[in-house]
This record gives sequence, structure tokens and C-alpha cells, in this order.
Amino acid sequence: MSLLLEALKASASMLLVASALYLLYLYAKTRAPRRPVGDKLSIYACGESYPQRRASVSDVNLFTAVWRNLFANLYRRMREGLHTGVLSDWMAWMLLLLAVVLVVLMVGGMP
Amino acid sequence: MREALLLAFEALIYPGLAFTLAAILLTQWYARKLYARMQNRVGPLHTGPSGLLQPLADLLKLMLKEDVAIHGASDRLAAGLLAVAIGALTSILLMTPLAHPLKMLLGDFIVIQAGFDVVLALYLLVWPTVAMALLGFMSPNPLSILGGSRVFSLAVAYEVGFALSLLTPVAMSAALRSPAFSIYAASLTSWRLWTNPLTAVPMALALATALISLQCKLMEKPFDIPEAETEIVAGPFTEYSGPKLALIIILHDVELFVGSTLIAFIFLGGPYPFTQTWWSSALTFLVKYLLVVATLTAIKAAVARFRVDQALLLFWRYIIPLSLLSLIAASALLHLSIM
Repeated sequence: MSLLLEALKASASMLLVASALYLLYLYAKTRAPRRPVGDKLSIYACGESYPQRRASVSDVNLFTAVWRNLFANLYRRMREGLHTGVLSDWMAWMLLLLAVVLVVLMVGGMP
Repeated sequence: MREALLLAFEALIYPGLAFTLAAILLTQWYARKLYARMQNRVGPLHTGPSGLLQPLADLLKLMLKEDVAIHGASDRLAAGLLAVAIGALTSILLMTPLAHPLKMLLGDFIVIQAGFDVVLALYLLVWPTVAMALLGFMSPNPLSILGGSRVFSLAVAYEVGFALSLLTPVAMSAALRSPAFSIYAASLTSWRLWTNPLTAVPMALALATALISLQCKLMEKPFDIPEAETEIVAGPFTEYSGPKLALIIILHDVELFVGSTLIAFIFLGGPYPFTQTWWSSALTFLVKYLLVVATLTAIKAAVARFRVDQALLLFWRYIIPLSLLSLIAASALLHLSIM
């Protein structure tokens, strides 16, 4: 059997189960005793006050924390080695990157 | 038409939603009782015989509570995401031989199987991780966001470990039964891999790494870092209560059920070798499943929580290299046609 057909079957099953559960959730919501009000609708911060405008996702932590924490030594060595602050060094790295891209394109087949 | 109805029956009744809900309630009772005994406690006791109905009572209580969504938080989207993640996990059950008893009841059954369908299973297995992390980012609470970011940080390690571990028996089973790299084919043949000393070693390695990766996937001790209650209250789930918290608990338990079922089938051979009668098959599978849950519970009871960097180092230094080694050994055995 084709993988695509099987993936469609899995998707249909996923949709059926998700719909059933979502309907169950909507039913449970209508059975709730009352709508929540007051402090229940503010951010819980262990007794501290935390206004909503201070809440934000730090994209730096999300995308680079693993790289900086897990490969900290490699990251430090690479930064010290690569980041000299000299413009011609930066130019050399860019040319090297261009060469790598060209090699990849040639190996993979240029369109 | 008949096939569509059969698929709907399997998705919603057996081995899909209804069966899964019943199974997770019993599994939760078993795990809670076992965990309590390991800590010299009694565990669930008063609701039903030996507290058997306590998980159901807990879920019903949460389902009938008010649904709180704080200012700035997503309300129905979070519930939709949880429902889709649970749907993704129950779909995986249709790829295992769990549907076999339907042959006796309905005269036919559907199994989702194709060459390389392990890729589909791995994709479906990622859904709960994504749902758990996004739940944190859907709430403006900094503790939730921190929890969500911790889930993603750990996911780059344990998802790799779990995927590599699952691929080992699936790859070796490709030599024994077609379709190649199929969850269903691997479930039917994996028990034979333990009878050959050459294949038993990678199987044992992969089983150990799969169990540890699953423990991390379930966010259980020592990997309960995203919801470390002494540090960040409940991590991604801090602001969720009522029916949404009930869905979160269901998602966690379904993940435990599906993960343990996959290990019981793909690594331990499911009902094999006692497949002479239906009851011996069911009993053998049940014993293997309970053994996997007991192992995960024992790890949870025995160890304290890691820090996030300790958990990542454990995975990148030991678990992933070991699972990779077992996969390389499996590939070499397959390539050299030794099996």
C-alpha cells in the first residue's frame, strides 16, 4: 500500500478523534458552573504582581540557548577565531561561504 | 464505504479513542498505586475497589470545573491543539497489531501499514511535544513561557534519541518481513530478533535508550524540568485548569500508553511467542505493557530531578551516541544479510 494513502488514513483518524475530544471540551465548557471573574483572570506569579505588558517571549533564549549552553566551548572558540573585527577577514569568510554554496549547487545539480 | 466505517470505528472505539481512554484510566491507577508503594504510601484507595475509579473521578471533577483563560491567553485554541495531539497519538495505535481482535468481532480489520511508515509514526509522535510547548507560549505568564522553552530545549535531545532507538528494531525487522521499515511488520517480527545473539545486543541497547528517551518525553522524573513545581510552579501548564487541564492530563497519559505500547510491540514482540489462543496473546501483551510502565515508574520513584543542562548532556553524551551505535549495528547486520 502507498505511504500517502496510509498517511491519509492516519489523518482521517486523527481528525475524527480530535473532533470528538473538542466537542467533549465544548460540552464540558457549557456545563461549567459560572464564568470566572476577578483575580482568576490575572497572571499567577506566586503572589507577586506581574502586569501583562511585561510578559513576552524571549526569542534569543528560545533559539540560541541550546547552542550557547550545550556547545559553549565550541561557540566561544569559534567566536574568538572567526570574529576578529577586521573587515577583510569578514570578506574572506563570505567568499568561503559563497564557494561552499557553489560546491553544494554543483554537487546537487544546478537548476 | 465499509472500509471508511471500519476506519471510523477503529479511530473512535477500538483501538482508538474509547479504548485508549479506558486504558489510560487503568494505567494511571496502576502507575499511581505502584509509585505510592515505592514511596511507602497507599495510593488511590477510596473511590471504587482499591481506588480503581479514582483517576476517572479526578478527570470528571476537572471536566466539570469552570474553564479559566486569563487575560491575553488563548482559550479554545489551546483545547483544539490538545485534541489534535491526542488524535495524533491514537492514530499510531492503528499502525500496531492492536486491531487484530476485530477480526473475531467484525470479520475484518484495518491496519495502517506501508513501507517506511515509521516516518509517519515519528511525525505523529512529535505532536504532543509541540502541543505541550505551545501551551506555554499561548499564555502570557513568564513561568509558562519558561516551561515552554524548556520543553523545546529538551525536545532537540530526546526526540532524536527516541527516533534513533525506534529505528533499530524497525530496520532489523526489514530483513524478516515486508513492508520494510513498517511499524506493523516490526511488531510482528521483533521477538525473533531476541533469539539471535547478534541482533539481541543492538536490541538491548536500543530498548534501554528508548525507555530513557520516553521517560524524558513524558516529562517524568528525572526529566520533569519543564514543569518543575519548586522552580516554575507547573511550567507550561501554570495557567490551565478545569477541562483544559483534564485534556493535558489525558494527553500525558495517552503518551504514556502509546509509548509503552510501541515499546511492548516493537522491542518486546507484543503477544509473541504465545499466540496460540486469544487470551494467551492478550495476557502476554498485557504483562509486557505493565512491565514497561513499571520500569518507567521505578525510574521516576528512584531519582531526583536533573537540571536542564545535565539532562541535555546525558542525552548528547550517552543516550544519542548509544542509540546511534545500535542503529549503525542494525544497518550493518541488514546490509551484510547476517540475519
